[in-house]
Amino acid sequence: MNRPLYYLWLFILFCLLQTFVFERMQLGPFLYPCIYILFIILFPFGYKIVYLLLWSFAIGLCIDLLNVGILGLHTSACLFLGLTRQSILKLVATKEDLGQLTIPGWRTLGLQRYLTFLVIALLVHHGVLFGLETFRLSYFPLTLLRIICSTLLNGLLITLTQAAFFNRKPYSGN
Amino acid sequence: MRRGHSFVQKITVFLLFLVLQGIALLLMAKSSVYQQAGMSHFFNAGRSKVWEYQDNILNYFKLNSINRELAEENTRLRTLLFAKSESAYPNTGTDSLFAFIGAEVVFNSTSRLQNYIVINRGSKHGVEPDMGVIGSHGVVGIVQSVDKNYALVRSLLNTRFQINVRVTPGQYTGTLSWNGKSIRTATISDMPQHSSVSLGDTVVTSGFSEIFPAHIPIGVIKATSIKKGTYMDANVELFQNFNTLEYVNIIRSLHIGEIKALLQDYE
Repeated sequence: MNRPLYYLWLFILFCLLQTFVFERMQLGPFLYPCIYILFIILFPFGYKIVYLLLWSFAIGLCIDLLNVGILGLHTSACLFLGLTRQSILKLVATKEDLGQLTIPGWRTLGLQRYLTFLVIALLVHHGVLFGLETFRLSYFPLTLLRIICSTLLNGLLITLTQAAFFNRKPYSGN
Repeated sequence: MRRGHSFVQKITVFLLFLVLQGIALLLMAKSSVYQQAGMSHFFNAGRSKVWEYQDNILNYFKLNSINRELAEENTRLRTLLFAKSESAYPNTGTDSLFAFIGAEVVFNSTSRLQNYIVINRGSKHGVEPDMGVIGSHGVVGIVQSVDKNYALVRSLLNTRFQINVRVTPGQYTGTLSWNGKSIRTATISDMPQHSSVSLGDTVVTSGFSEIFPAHIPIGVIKATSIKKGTYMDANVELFQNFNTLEYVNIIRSLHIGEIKALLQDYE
């Protein structure tokens, strides 16, 4: 499939999923299901960060606009994830991985390194999201607990979703 | 040469990040106080319409619990009617100070620290900002901004929500707010230690503001703790379950114009 078109389709899919399914799951303030992060994770390794930033901005803004909450919150969190994604990948991947790495996933990275990557990525995203939502030092312990709980939930959620639907043979080449 | 190229690239990436982040922060700064108010009404209306369609579908799965809650509320109201008690809900006779507007919840969130609710009644139906909203089991929130057909309600489950309450049967009045920890509990903080508040006491609205009438139930005191050796905090278990919230009533104060004029004269 045409690459930009494929990502546009994924973009719409994740916006709808997040808005109509996962935002409706009311699991309390500690568990915030956030499936759309998978969209930013699913870009191939060599993808230009400039474009990744634009995609991250777009999906964050869409999630913000489609839901009730502080406008710009998800946008900011997604941008931080888009900016740091490449560095996190470099942190966990070995030399051999980098040579043949396409889309970061269970198969391409191995389970252990994939989970490390995912957890760090989620901590970045949730850290910004929950940190900015309260933006008060007195809420720090509460915010920390929210970040940890939601990271565990979304780590599981994203791993399973990716394993079930996006673990086919990844794109070859750049 | 290659090094220089990658340096330019890095600068470009960083500048783009700063610009986009700037836009995000600007949106946040503009939206955090009256968040949706500045947004175009057309967009808000469209979005709310989508939520309403979706809610209509989801409601089929919740019919059982909704029916049960309505039945329970009916029973309670009928009991009140026959007992002619003046507690719980004020009567809505012609000399009443308050009138009610029924509404359906279209969008509801409980997973944030600043939670909001969207209801399908707006300025067309007489809803205005700063009106109180109650559910079948008690206080739900306060209207924050209004569209033609929909209104945005600041939920009680919002760390920026505060309400003046009275602890009965004692007469202590204080401020109740949400602590963000659980959707079933809220806190009355900074009570003096000598205040006669005991476990199991009921927390109701004080009626000191024109937003809520007095004696609307909120919750029951579950635990008290001394903070820093001086003040007492009380944990309140809320009557209203916000996860199953479906039908609400908006409270319209009929004398609010008079009260406001009076206050203005006084100032």
